[in-house]
Amino acid sequence: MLCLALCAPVHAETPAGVLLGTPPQPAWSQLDTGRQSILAPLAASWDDMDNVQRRKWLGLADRYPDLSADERLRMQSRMRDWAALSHEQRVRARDSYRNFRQLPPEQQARLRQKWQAYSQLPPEEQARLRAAGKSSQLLPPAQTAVAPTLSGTLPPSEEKH
Amino acid sequence: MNEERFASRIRQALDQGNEDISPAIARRLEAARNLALARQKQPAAELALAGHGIRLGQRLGRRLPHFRQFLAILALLLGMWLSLYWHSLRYHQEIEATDSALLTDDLPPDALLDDDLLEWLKDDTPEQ
Repeated sequence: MLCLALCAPVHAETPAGVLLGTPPQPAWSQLDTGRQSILAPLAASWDDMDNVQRRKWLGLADRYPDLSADERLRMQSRMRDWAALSHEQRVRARDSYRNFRQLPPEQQARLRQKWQAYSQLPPEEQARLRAAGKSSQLLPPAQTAVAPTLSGTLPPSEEKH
Repeated sequence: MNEERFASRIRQALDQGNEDISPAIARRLEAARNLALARQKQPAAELALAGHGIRLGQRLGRRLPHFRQFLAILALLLGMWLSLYWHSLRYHQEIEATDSALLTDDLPPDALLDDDLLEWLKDDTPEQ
């Protein structure tokens, strides 16, 4: 069992070794007021969480003071929904995020910019855009023109030289 | 050379003395020797424990025959738990770093869970 627990990949199901090796974590009423304030969106679900989840959130609460004001707002607004996801969904989202962070910084920036533009469209327009065309039309025209250059392909006019 | 001669003389004196020992004393000496040998075997078979705990370990070992097995199992369990604890520590550090970045990024978890949307957004090829 020990070998299986230790050999299990970190990103798959929570390994049995992690469950066994995580000491008991405090109940909501045992948290100090500072942590209760940071983790307030989780107050209702805290006592139903296992020790692994509680420990993770306590770790995030310890990192919280280092975040910017925008990041704090984002984290607080996403906490409840993130905790409500199934374990498999969280694993999938983490894998997607790791893949996203491995993209070149320019491509990450373009993707974030496209997402910003896309998220502000009404649902019908979002559906029409995805069905009809490329996501590059979400970028301003100037950036659309340089996009192929950044991904390694020169525009046709420059390829002739 | 002097030492060898001296040793030879002692041996001769002991041999002569041995011949003069009465059978009753010889039997008592033999019994005492056997007893001493029997007692010598016990500490030799003891598990060698370092430090001041050796005598306590020997005493407990005699009184509680399974004490050493108990100690060995306890040490094994402690080692296993420490290993699991270290593994969980590493796991938590990685998950905390990922979740902290993920929950504060401009890109929300909803977008990360929609594989088709993410692929569509990644595609930088221009409109035909």
